[in-house]
Amino acid sequence: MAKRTRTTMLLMAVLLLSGSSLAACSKSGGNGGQSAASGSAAATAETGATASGQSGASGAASPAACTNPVELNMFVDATWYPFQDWSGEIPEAITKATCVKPKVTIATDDKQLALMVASGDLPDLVVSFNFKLMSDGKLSLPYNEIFPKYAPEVKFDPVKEFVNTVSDGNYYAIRNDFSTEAEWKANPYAHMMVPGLALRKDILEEVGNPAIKSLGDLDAVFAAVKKKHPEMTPLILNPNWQRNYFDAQYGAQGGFVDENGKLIYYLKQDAVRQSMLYMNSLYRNGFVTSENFAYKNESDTEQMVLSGKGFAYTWTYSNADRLNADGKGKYTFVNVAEPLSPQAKIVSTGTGGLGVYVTKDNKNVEASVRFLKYMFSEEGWRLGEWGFEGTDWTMNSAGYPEFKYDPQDLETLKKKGVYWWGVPWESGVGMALSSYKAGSETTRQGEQYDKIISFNPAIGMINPDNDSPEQIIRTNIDTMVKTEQTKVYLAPSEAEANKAYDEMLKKADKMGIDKLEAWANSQYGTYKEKYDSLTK
Amino acid sequence: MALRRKKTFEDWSLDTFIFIALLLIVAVTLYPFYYILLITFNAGTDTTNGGMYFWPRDFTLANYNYFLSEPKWIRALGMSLLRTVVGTALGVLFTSLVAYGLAKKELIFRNGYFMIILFAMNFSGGLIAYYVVLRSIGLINTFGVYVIPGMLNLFFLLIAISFFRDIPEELAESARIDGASELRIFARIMLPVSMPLLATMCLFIGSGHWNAWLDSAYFVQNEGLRTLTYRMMQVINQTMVPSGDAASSSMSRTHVTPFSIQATAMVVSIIPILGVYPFLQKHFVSGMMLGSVKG
Amino acid sequence: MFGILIAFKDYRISSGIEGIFTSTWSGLSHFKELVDDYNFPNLVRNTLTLSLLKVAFSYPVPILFAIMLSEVRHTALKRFVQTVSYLPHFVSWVVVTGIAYAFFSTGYGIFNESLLSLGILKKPIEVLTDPGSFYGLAVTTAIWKEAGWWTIIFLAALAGIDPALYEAAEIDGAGRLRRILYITLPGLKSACIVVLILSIGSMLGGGLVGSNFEQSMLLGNSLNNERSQIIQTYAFNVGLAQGRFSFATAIDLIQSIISLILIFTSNFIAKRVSGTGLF
Repeated sequence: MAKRTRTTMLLMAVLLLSGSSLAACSKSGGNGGQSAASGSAAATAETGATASGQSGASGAASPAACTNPVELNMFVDATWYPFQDWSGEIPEAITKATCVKPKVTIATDDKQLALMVASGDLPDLVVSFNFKLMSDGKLSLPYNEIFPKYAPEVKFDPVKEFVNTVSDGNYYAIRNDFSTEAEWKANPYAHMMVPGLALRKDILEEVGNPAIKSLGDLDAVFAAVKKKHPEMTPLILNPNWQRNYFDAQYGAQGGFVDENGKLIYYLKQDAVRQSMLYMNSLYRNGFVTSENFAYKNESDTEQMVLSGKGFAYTWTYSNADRLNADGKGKYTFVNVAEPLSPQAKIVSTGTGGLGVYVTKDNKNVEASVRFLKYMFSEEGWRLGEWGFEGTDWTMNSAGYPEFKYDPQDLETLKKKGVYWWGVPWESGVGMALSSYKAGSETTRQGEQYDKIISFNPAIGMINPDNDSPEQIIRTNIDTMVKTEQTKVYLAPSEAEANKAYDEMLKKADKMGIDKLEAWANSQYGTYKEKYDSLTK
Repeated sequence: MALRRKKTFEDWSLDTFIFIALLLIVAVTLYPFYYILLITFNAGTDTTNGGMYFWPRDFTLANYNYFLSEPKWIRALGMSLLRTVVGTALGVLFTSLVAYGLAKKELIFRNGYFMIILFAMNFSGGLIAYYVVLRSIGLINTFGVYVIPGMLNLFFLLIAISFFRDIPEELAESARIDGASELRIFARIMLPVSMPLLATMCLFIGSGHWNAWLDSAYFVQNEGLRTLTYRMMQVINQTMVPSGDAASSSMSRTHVTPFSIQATAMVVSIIPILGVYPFLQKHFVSGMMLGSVKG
Repeated sequence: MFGILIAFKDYRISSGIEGIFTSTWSGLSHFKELVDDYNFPNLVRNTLTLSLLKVAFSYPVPILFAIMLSEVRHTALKRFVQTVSYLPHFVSWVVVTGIAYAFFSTGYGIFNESLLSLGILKKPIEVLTDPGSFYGLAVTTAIWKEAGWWTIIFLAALAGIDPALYEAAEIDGAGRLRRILYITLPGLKSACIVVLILSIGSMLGGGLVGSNFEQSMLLGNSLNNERSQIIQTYAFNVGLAQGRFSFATAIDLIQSIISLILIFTSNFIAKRVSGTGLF
């Protein structure tokens, strides 16, 4: 007995020793300041903003040699963010230019931010999609106060200020991936992302390469493919882009829709009904399998297409290009570049994605503003997103960048630290320019669809607060639709599909869709007026 | 000593039945596991095509490379080891100590304690309140947050109590008569007798610590304190970049899919457990050996 | 514990911790919202059916398995089988789902393919999408995953049975089956009861094998959600995912109360029937 205890003790001691020695050995993890102390007990205190005696005086002009960059804690609320830390030649260059070095933490779980907020332990900067949560005077400092104070020369586009303003009249971020209509028009090479449909080129040619000008033509192609290749599924739907492509063809929008000046919730649009009925017809004609609606992972569906199980695939406008690149040349894909119906239209209501929020606990607002100012500037975010001008990229005379490195190779991106640290500050146009490629399938479709896009971010600004009765109604309706729409898609006949759709409308009525619309309309008038006044 | 006995028909049929049943169980359990192993050695993108069952179709070490290319792993591994050892030791000792006390019928407020235990098992004040409590004790962002809250494992507390209750009183009685203190009785008699229970607790609590990552996510900001499983979650999360972003296409270039990476993470984390398990297994297999017929 | 208050209030997390105490009272409105949902009867039916099926089917398995193992005399075999049996416990649910999809897919899954070619099936069974097969799929995968792990507890209990009892019974002429019935089973009695009570108490979450939530989220899809949607996934989708902590807390509270009631009831019954209980 004693012997056994001794061996167990020995085993434990060995494990403990190896554990502490491994924990103590500090590999340079990119963050300078990794302590080599023993891995147990008292944690090394967070190195907050070090030397506060910063010469933060010089604004735009390159600061005098920055010896002690200000460290700011930056939390990125996106679990999938490909960059884990602030390392690489590009981030270093940014630090040199701003004398700020962010200490990055990427979220591993969606609840982390909420926990931070509720407990009051906020970092200096928060990068998050959660506009409603962070645009709150209790949590963040408003841009319209800190910028005039520390960087009065910065002037944001008034439309951008507008779409980020909340009910207390302040704006707490200028979110990324947004550009004004004027910006889009001024950059003919920037094409907004739209849903896309890609087809296998070889099979298309097998069935005679017919012109596809309407949904009817598309159906005919699917039928021909089905006959020639019965083992193949004519159409595979990307789980995240199931109906979007067809919605666009019918002119159906999501969220709130402006119909003759008044807002209705998308379910009430006739175009949505038509689009769903079309999905149903796809199923009834055997162009789409029912199992497709159970898939959740788009890499799975992509693989199916790449291994030859499907003829057509729904995704974004970079569909064909992506498939061609990922498939390594086994098959070639082409986009259906032109809209397939005169009704086709897309209304862009987006107001932006990621925002960089300066929290109330921020230790060094001046440095933060300096940092943000640089990243918002053309020079700054281009450095972050594209790299060094000249060595990494050059601006083509037509107005788009040409890269000297492969922007699709994640390894290169990681090593240089380029692209993802520019993303939080990229404009919609900027993001589109990054992916421009002359003659590519993406561009071919982008050019065609530019013609059917119109802008109305005023709608995008209408968003109920968390826990408000309107938000509850909206969530209930959306959840219900997600559950019930499959009944429409898989109905055995058009009549029954219609009936299922009516059922959905009835349920939505019971849930209070009218109240939701009324609430939205009460806000729409003011927003639309203000937006129009800024853009005329 | 060994009873010599002919194998009866009953013996035979029972043995055969059990044998077949066990064989089925092994097949059903082992094959999917083998399949998982296959996946880790197969290119993720190829696996999605299905149809691969016995041998990797597109052999690759890319899945493992994807993990091991992270330099911070060594430290995280060390942290996990440390945490598991300390946490398990504390947990098992503390819980069994408390259980022993609660097993005694003479304990005052015994029913009260039980009420508290049951209440705590079922109710929780929620994540936010928990965080606040941890913060006020000063455990946030320290190593302690890994091992201290888990010291009393309520589930095992209840199981251990019932175990201790089953131990015949005479064992303790005779020792008491000989003048041994309660602590001595506990250490010298109770613990050794309950080896199977302790071994089980070590296994369950230990694997719990080894696999835990949520507390590393929620309650720790110091990068040096991160555990291995936390790092794994980070890697897994990064495979799920939402599409529509130009650079996300670079993911599929690597032939790695979220599924193949998750499978790899799982295999990597199970290896230590497999390593430790044989040491614990003898504790609950040994008892049975004595009870069966020597053939 | 005061976090529970959130369930009865309109809590905004931006108001931080003080917000727990200062937010406006919403009384029972969250609970009412749950009950008023058009899907509520479905959710309850699904949750209860799934839980009951799991407890009923998963409870006997570890016990039987432990007994079977104890009857094996060949040590190496015993250890091998036992080690293999608990491996699935470490497989994360996400991976299990991936495997399930690979095995049961109607297009190219081995399950359907082999049964079709053997002639046992005429048409492939749409395991993954048919609402009717959800319960079977969920319960089976749960048992596969956890039964081996729980066997360990029973094995530990078995190890505590005095071997002299077996020998004495043998001398008295008792056969294998009788020995099992009269010695092994009673020896396991207290362990069995404790585990039973705990498993009933945690029934709503899936009992011993747990994982109602994970299975519903992962194996559930738009095609089988008539059966796969349970209260917990509803709470998640409508509550946490929307940042509605109050609502989510309210639903948690209901489940906790039910669990507690179940534990007390089953303990009471166990004491009446068998003399021992949890406490």
